[in-house]
Amino acid sequence: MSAPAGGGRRAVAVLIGVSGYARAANEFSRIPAVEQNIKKLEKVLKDPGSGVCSSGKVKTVHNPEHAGVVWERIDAAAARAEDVLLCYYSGHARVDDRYDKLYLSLSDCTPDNLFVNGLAVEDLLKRLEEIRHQCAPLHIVLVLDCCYSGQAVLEAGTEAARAHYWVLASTSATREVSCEPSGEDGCTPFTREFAAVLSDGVPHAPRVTMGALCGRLEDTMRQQRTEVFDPWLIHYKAGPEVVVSHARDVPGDGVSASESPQPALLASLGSRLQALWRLPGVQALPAGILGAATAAKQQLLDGTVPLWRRCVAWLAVVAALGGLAAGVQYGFAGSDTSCPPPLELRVLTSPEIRGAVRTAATAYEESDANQRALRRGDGHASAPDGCRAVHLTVFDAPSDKVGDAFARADTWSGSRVSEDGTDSGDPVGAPPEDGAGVDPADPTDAFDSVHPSNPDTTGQTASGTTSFGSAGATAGGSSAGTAGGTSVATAGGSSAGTGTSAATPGGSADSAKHFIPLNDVGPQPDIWIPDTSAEVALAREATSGSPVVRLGTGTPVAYSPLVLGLPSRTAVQLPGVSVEITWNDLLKAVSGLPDPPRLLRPSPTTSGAGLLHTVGRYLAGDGSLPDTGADTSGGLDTVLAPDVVAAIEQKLSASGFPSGDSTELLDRVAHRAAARPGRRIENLEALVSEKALVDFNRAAEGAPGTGDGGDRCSGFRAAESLTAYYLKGVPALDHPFVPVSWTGADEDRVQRSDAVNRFRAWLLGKDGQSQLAAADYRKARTGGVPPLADHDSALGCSHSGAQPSIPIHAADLTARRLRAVIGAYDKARAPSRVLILLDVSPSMREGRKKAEAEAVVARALEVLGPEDTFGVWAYPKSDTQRTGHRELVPLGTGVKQAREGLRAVEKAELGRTTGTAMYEVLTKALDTMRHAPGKERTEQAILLVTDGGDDREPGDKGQATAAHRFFNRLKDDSAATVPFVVVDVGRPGCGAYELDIISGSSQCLPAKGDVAKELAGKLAVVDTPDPADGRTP
Amino acid sequence: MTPPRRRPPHRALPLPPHCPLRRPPHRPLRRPLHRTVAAKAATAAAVLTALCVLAAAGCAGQAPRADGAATEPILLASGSDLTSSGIRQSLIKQWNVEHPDHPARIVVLPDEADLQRSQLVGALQSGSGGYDVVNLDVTWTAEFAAGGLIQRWPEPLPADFIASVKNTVVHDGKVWGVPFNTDAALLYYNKEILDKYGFQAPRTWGQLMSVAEDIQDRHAESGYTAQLKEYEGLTVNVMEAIWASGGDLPAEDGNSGRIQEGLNNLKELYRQGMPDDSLTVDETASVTEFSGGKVAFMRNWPFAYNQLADRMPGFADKVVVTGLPGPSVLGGQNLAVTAHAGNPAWARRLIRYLTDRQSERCLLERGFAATRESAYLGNGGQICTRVPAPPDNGTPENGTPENGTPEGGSAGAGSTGAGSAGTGPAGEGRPSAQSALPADKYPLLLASIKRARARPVTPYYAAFTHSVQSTAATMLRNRITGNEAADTLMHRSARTLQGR
Repeated sequence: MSAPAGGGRRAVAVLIGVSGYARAANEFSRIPAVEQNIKKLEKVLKDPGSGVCSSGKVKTVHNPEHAGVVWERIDAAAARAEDVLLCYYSGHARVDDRYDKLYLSLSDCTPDNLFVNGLAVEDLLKRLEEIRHQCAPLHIVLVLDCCYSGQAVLEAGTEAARAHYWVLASTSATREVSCEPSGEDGCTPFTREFAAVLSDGVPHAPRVTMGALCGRLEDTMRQQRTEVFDPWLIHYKAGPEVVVSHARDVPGDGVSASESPQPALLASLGSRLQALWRLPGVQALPAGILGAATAAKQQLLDGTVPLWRRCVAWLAVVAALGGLAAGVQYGFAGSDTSCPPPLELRVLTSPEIRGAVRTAATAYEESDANQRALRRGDGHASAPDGCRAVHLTVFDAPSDKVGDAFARADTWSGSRVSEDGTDSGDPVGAPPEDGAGVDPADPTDAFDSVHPSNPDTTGQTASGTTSFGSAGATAGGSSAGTAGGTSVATAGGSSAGTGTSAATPGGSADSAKHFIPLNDVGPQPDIWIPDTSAEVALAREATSGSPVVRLGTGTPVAYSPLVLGLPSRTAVQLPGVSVEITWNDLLKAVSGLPDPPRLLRPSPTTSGAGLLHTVGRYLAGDGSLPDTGADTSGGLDTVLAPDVVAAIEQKLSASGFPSGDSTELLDRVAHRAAARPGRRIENLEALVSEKALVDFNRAAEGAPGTGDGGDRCSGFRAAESLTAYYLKGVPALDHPFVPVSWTGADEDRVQRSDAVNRFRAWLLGKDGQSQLAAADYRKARTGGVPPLADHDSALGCSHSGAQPSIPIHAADLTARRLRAVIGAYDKARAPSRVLILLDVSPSMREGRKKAEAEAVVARALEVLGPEDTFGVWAYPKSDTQRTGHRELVPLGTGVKQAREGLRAVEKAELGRTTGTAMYEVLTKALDTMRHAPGKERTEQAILLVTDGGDDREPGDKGQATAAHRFFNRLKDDSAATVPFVVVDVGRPGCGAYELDIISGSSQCLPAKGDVAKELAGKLAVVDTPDPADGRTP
Repeated sequence: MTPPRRRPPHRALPLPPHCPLRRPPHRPLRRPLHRTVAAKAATAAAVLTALCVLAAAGCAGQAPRADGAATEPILLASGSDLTSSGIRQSLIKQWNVEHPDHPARIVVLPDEADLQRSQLVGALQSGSGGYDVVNLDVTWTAEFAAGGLIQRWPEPLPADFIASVKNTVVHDGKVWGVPFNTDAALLYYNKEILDKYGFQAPRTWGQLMSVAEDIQDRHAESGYTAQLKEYEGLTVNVMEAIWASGGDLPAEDGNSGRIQEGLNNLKELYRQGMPDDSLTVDETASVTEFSGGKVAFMRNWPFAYNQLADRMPGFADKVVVTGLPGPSVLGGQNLAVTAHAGNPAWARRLIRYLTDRQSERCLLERGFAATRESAYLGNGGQICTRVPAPPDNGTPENGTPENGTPEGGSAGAGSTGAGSAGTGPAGEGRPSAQSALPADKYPLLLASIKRARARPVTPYYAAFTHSVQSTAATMLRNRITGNEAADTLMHRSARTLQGR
């Protein structure tokens, strides 16, 4: 780096100040501070000691009337300058917004004529550049102290006025500066600081260069605030380095802490040693050591003293020195009396109870119970009392995903990839794209060889997992269709842990390639609160013998019985029917109704409530579950016979696509009701939890009747509510609190365990239970039956729909029984048919869109059962045929071919030039699904996976026509409705309005990481029409 | 467009045919160090002492994992790339190519920041997880440092890092990591709507509020969209509102009036200037709303620019992006080495690689806000060459800077200098989804970052932000007034910031 230019006292400066304006009644105010600015700078630049200008080399220009004056002065100065020319301006300025150009005012200007009569900074920059060029090697520095001066820096970088010299601006392009004089010298803040650096110098530098000045000025100005209270930023454009002052900073002058950590370290060390000194006994130590050393000196050095005494003496000295060292170490480590950060507890819940647990957790965090220190392993407290001991993070996931995650617990933390150890450096933790390590021809080989055989001795796996248990394990997963194969799609991995999928509720097969517990479910939980102990039984089976995770004993914290909800106007048609009733009796009563209602139930795979309702429906028709002995001896075979179960499932409408959980099911009901006059609820029977039903009966937020902290019973609607019927023998949701411990987590095992136990104790205590009761749960501590005078609970209010005096049923459900039920369900439910429409336009190449689309398709295929069929179409058809589609997988393909289907999707070639014509293919899909032959009672849906809808220009006639035709088709009442679910892999998800309309807004999912979590539920929450509306389902 | 004709600058007196001068500039003589044995010895002793101190400091509190073998991959725990470009994975892949004996692997954390933090803190506190490098939100530095979960960064950071961003890795006077990417919010506005009603672009929050409320009042369009859902976005918007009134949290003495003003302004803006469903809106939903063309203003991060360019009809004519009329929150993420990292030396090398000039330039070009100033200035014509250009998808790559200009400077939108990447048919006219802001917006982005302010620096940030969110949510739902919310906030934040 060459030495900076300048130095000596040969610089010339032109200081231009516009402090007053010629015209009367000018909106530009006088600025006395400008005069002070000029005066100050002149003084500093001419300073005999540090200034770079000799006397006579500083030209001041006060209130030039027009630009000509300015040019003259600048030219004259340039002619005299030998090495450095400094140009400074201070006055009013404005930016012409039309062209983003800054204009400096002159004394003849008004705000109205500024853009004509003022000095355009662009012209100034150009003129200075010409000068620089002609008078090389002259160095130029331009400094502006005015409003919006940062705009000059921007202009100095553009083509028009490229400046190869320093431009320093007092503020940003969009900030004004105050005209008020400030401080003793009456200068503006920027010029004051600028002059201060020139006269005081920069720390550790023998003189001041522009670079150092700008850096220092940046730091000092940022401490001040602009007129809109943000930090004051200066802006500059660098040029070749020049010296602007000979001032030297005296050392020891205000080094900021962040530049030099040493002083802070020493200071804190000092304070810690002081704290150490105050401890009892410490002050005696030096004297003691000295005394001991003196006394021992003789013994240490005297050769006549016996060896053993000398050794003891030396040991004592060493021990004393060790103590001293420990004290110093302690001084470094710090005796901190401030609170340490709290211990973090990760709480995984079911989606339904998440809200209530979050509210309770907040109350616990702020309670006194959380201010007592936890115990460490050594018995000592981890922090002073009065500190917040624990911080809770609460998150949720559907039950099938949680089951899958526990089954693959060894990969949950992410530090291990999969059991077969095929981690070979692909950054996202999966085998590389060329498939090393797994045979792409048949990944099931790898799968079977790694994992023990299915623990279910009957050899039957739950829900169709066999055929595509490793659907995702296509190691050759590079998207062959993309140019150069540089897509960052994650390659296939072997499906570790799918052997246990049979043990998970619903047994959804996981495409290992796309399932990452940490990302798909959430953090490794310390506490797990699912809906029901049934899920725990299954997970315990999956994790038995796991070296990684241990599930503790579950303790119920809240109950919610499972109920069948009938609209109150239907309930009144059933006089004499007790609200506590067996399934068989209820079915008999309802069948007598003139208009039998539809039976809706959440998915048994994704919802604990759905699972237990299914168990109850299949097994507790007469009001009690069979003995557990029946599980082993084949005693369930009769009651779970395929035709029996099929007959049951047939009556469950929309059974092919059940909704995610009770809350979601009732949300859909409420949504549909809101669209009807009088908010009329459709004619249905909803199999849900008592809590979800009571929540449904609350008035909408903001509507009359909703109190906040007022009478707890005032929140319920009087009409259009659901009445709960309690099904005998059906087990209640018991929300067990399950501590989860992870091997390798030894740093704070005792503390963590203490923290978990305390939270559980609080949840089961008075405060925690009243929190849960306020969320419409039944208290665990009262055994699930609220006492009459329980003021925390609204269950007993007259319009709640619930009967809290009816006791709950507990049941010990074994994993074996659950799997039997799940298996029967999978076999018997109505087949469904899904047509997947995949966008293969060129924009799908970007980033991870294709990989996300594949993950979506994989998840959709997972949800299907053994009798289901699917098809995949890709659109546009080709680069030459925009309005068409290619058939990747023919509609009607069985789910056994899901793996091939997924592979076809991965291999699908993306277009190069032609975008999508979406409406045409949507119309074709709708027509095909409506009219294609399918089994009776087949449920259908169209899954649209796209990154943005239709690519034609808005206003394109073809698009308008096609859209018009499609939307007409969609509204066609006479034809069968086929619901759409849209997943948008573009950014932002679901940003295109037409996607909203197609899907009905709650069915459009943005493809963020958690889409897979929701898709199972959404694929199912279909807008099935109410038969009462006259449309056929 | 050139400005209208006006009086040309005075061009009298051409300069003399030669400019006087020219003795060569005075160069001070340099004197070499006097090389004495004593000087050498002193230097050596100083170096040795320094090394010892550094080693001791580095050793404090660190117990390497038992299995810290060199061949184990370096584990980097990070949330996924929510921009579409996957640039972080690409950088790691390139590291693996260049360092085959010390490969790195990303552990993909949950998408939500709260859950990322929870997993990292829970795993590092308990000693499970085995992560070597962690990607931390800027608000987490204090908690991780004070909790002994990460190691100090042993050397001072280069001056190239933006100063305000550098401060986010400092805790208790020490440096704990290296800034990876940063973020500062911008104001997007729909010029068509403003022109329709004859409004100028607002320069202060007061002006923005009154314009937004006026527009909202006319019922044809909405005034403003931001992030008021109950999550970190709400804390961010609340802090910006409080700062815009000159207040701050923790409250300085006598400052309660300004906090009240800020909260009342936010509440009023929500009630009278924003759509009704604004309490469920996060960053993505804001963009969706704004892209419909019926909202006048949007406060959002730079990522929104490209989303809008992709999705919004008439984007180029309608949307103007500028700085917020007040301070923005400083966002972003930093990389740090965990306390129990198996091979901290290599972990640090990985971090240095991911945050060097090339990587930062690549991040900027592909959708992140870089933490180094050099990335924005394109000094020496620097462009991203470390990772391959994204696959050619037929749309022009926007944001290519000019080459060969020593002082950098911004390229006008649409200019493609010789040798720029990704030329393609210009017909589509849309910027590629790969880059974030185009290069002519880099100065705006850089200025916004420099102006941005950090949220409170505290090891108890999680509790603090939760208290802000729940108080603000209660206020916005009209269950308490702005003044009550201010009192509650002051009280609760005083408590949480003490760790209670």
